[in-house]
Amino acid sequence: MTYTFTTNDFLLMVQGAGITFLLTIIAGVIGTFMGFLVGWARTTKNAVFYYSLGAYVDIIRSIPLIIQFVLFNSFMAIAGYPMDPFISGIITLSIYISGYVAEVVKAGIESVPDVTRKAARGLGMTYYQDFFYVVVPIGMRTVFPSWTGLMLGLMKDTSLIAVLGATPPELLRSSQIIINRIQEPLMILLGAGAFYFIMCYVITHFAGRYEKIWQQKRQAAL
Amino acid sequence: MFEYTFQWRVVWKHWPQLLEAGLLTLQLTILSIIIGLVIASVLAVFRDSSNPFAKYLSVTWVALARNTPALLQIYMAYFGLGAFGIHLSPYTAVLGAVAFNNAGYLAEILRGGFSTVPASQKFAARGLGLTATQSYIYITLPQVLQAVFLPIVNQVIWAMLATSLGMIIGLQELTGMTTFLQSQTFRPFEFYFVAACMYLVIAKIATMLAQIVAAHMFKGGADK
Repeated sequence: MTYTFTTNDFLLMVQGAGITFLLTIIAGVIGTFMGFLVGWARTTKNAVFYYSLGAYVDIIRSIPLIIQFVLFNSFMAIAGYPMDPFISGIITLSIYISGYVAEVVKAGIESVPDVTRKAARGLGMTYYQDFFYVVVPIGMRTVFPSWTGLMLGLMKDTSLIAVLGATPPELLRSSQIIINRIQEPLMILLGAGAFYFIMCYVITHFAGRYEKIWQQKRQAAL
Repeated sequence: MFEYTFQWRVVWKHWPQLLEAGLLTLQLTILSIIIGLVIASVLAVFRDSSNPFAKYLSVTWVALARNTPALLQIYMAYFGLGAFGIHLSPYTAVLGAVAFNNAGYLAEILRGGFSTVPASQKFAARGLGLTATQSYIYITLPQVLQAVFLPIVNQVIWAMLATSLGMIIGLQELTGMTTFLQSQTFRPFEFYFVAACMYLVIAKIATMLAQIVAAHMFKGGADK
């Protein structure tokens, strides 16, 4: 008896793509928020923040995501709070991407010239006014492409959540489930690759358009 | 709340195996970067070639390598190529897939590096009487190296992290060996913790070495 690719298989892959997208958005939002705080704290001239959060960023960026997944999951288990793999996966992904976002945010804040900030303060703005009305808008434009790159990386990295056996399956895991049944790895993997490719392409496209609108606005303002 | 007793002795007992697996990770990382760099240099040249085939090969390679997950690339090498009668060992599959991935990213890094050197410098060098080879070696290359040095170091770290995916297809590099050992001893936290520390140490040593090399090679360190 041979097994073939059915409509249900296709639907499973579409659902998987949806889960991949959902994971990216949830972890992306939480991770960006955390990364923003960490990156910002590192630019305040506080040595304790600078070095302790520097270590946080360093550690996250030097350990494979798979190991972070398993470590966090087993730590919660031995601490007496066993978690659903899906939830612990989202938390790990958020922490993981926050380390990368922090570096980007730090670079963005540092890209704003000191004189600009001093001028803002000289005009009577408070620290927070200077930060939110001057530094954030300028710095954000500088690092927006790097941030988009990080989010694309995050989307590809969500495929590793499979090591925890998280359900519902994301795109790559659902492809593997289908491969196990119909034994046609090449076609299914090509299909999954196409899904990822399209999702990456869509994000890149919209990010590019957004950037263009920004630039047009800037041109108009000048 | 915390009723768990950590058992580190069992990790110590398997330390030689972990160390050996760490060396395998190191070996995979270095090999994949060397192969990746060689292919990337070709791809970067092909990108601006007038031959349409070479150009499309380069564009397609870079797009595929950068827009699909590394794990999918490893699956492709390990399971997918079977459709063509090519059956790779886990080692070759991981090495091939990570090198494929590296080549895509490194090609973009190299291309960026070459674009930092204005063409006018080459003309000036030629005008001063340097041959094409001399102007390449003494003028272009040093500046390109300085521009691409740090991004390449980042890519080395990234390649090391990517080799950990070998665990999923049963390769016993550091992560794979850790998974194997914890499944025998039922001590996941201890084993993964030690493995995480080993990755951290390798990454730290690599970055420190890179900083020393950069300080000696370039005036004022590598470009940030």
